[in-house]
Amino acid sequence: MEVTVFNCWLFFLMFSPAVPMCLPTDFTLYVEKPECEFCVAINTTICMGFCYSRDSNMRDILGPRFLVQRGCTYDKVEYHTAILPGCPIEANPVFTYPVALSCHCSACRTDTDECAHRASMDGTKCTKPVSHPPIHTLVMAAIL
Amino acid sequence: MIMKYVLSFHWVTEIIDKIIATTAMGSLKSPGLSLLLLSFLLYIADSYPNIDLSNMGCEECTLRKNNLFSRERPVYQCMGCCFSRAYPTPLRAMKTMNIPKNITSEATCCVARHSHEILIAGISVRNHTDCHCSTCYFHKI
Repeated sequence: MEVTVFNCWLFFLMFSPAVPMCLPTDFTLYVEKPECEFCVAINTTICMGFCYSRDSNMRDILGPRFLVQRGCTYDKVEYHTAILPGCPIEANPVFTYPVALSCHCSACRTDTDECAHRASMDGTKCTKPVSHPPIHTLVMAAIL
Repeated sequence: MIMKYVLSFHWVTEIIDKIIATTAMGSLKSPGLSLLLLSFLLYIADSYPNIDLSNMGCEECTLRKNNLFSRERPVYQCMGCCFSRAYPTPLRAMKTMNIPKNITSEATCCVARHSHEILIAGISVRNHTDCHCSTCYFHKI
């Protein structure tokens, strides 16, 4: 009986329903400055996935004490720099962006991150011709 | 990262110990099947040495019985996994921020969509009746 239960548990562990974890994911970032001629498509890595959370039966009395609320966010991050083409001399053509090396489920740090429920995606669309220029990157490792 | 790998290895060794114990007791009737399943788990664990165990078994947001309060009658609690992501803040959005942040984090959390108040041993408790992934109000630090 004990062996049967153990085998069933192992079988269930293999095939139990689960959703994708919080993992680094490829992402295309579109960068457009008003003073520059082109919208630049930059391939980077972001954090995306599912994290465990739990509501509380006693939130009215104890507040958030037994709540578990976490989001998929950057664990280790590296900053890369891209040079935007078609920018006038007086405009700053340098654009620095984060690249996720690893991700984890954690609270949102308000000192470094903009914490939102669902942010507007207007900034990710281009209004100018898209450019895929060679990117000269200066890797500045910033491990959080 | 090393601790996560150690925890994964510890988890697998616990399974091995259990198999050895049941074999020693002479009660193992299907050692071949158990060893086959264990080999499969070891292969999975070896393929992903950096698995974060806090994310393992991330099941969907749904009602589950709260055993602490479920004495006289069942009390349910919303728990499970919801989608979230973090990405570089778009330039246009960054210009509207009082304090520009390089990273934007969008998160949803498993919370009760509907609940009703009940009394358990004189304590007011909310029994959840429906769950959904919605706004996280307490995930900031």
